[in-house]
Amino acid sequence: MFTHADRASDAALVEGLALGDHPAAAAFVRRFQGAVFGLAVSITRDPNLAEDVSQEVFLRAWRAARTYDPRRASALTWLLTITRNAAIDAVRVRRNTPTDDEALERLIHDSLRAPDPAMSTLHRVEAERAIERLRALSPDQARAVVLAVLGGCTAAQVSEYENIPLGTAKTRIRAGLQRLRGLMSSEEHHD
Amino acid sequence: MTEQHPTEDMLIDLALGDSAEPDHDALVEHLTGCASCRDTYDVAARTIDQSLPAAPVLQPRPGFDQTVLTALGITPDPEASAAPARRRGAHDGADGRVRRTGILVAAVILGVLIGAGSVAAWNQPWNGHGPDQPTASMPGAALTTADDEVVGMAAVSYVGDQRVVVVAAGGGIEGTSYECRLRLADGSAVTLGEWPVPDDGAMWVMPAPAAPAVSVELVADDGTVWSTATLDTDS
Repeated sequence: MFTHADRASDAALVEGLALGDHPAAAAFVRRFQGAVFGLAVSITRDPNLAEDVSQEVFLRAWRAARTYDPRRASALTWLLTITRNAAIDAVRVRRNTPTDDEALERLIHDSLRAPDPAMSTLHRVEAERAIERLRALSPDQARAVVLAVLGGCTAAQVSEYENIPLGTAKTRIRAGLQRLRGLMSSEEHHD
Repeated sequence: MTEQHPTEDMLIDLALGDSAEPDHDALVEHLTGCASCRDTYDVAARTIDQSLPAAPVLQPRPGFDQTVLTALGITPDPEASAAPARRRGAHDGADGRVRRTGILVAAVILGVLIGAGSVAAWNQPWNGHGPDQPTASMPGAALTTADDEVVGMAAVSYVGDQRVVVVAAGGGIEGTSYECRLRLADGSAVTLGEWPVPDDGAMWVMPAPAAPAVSVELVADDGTVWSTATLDTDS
């Protein structure tokens, strides 16, 4: 289990970032750049664009750091939410995302396996919980949710990629998210 | 006349960023005045957000952190950055003999480990106790600084079926943590761990991905690559 000190440590770095403190800002970027860049690549499927997105994410985080509330979300989740929005914005501007079947299959596989053991304790716990919840879904639901949430695919793209009707793709995404929500509620009760 | 509420699928589409104009603006406007739909949207958005840590972690190119800090206009405080430099100077001077001894000890330990097998602890300084015996698949490569000073060694090895990277190093700056990055052949990098490097040397054994690797880098707190070991091309 992660400790409050772990979360406080992340929050302190966010505070340091807000103040423009170089050591804190440098530590913040280095601590989170792998997670940010990883999600950006998952959505853009383009390392060059993902790097631009990642820079934009840290810029947005710096601007929003004063409003960050650690009671609402961990720093990792907060930053990844910014990342997802920025990556989807970038893909939308470009108006096309490479339909790389191999990359999408790799994303599904990597998102459902154990997290990198080299991650910090808090981040690994968050990743493990998210992965365990995804694994609790039916395989079809898990694939649809990973493609939509972590791959930034639209329901139409999920439908095309999975070769299923659009309505089925939406049902799998909706049912998967509902199941995830139920699992999150159970975790909150146990915490 | 009652107002038409959006379907749950429409709210999920919005939370996923999958709603186009003109539906998008109409939905946002509806949410500002409908607490029930707002709750449904918030639950979907929170569920999505809390699933994001499942995404694979991937390190950007070296120097990315410095590029970001420069873009933010956050630069080191000259007085603060002078302190480590002075420590490094003292370190290399009067205490140089001690540090070289430490590096030598670490390198010898690595040599013994690779040559004959030994014991190691996961992801922490080698302490002479542990259940597993790494078996080297390649000779150790010297960890050298930009000034061509050897500060340790690194090697790819195996513990059973688990591929690992073994690093032995010494002479780090006191109070500084070093991120250990494995640079892969495709140009990406994976963080294996982060720890201080004690003056008298220590060893770490860290699980590593199966992908071909080209180098091991120890990166200081300020983002500079302190030392690099270029691995054999078969790694």
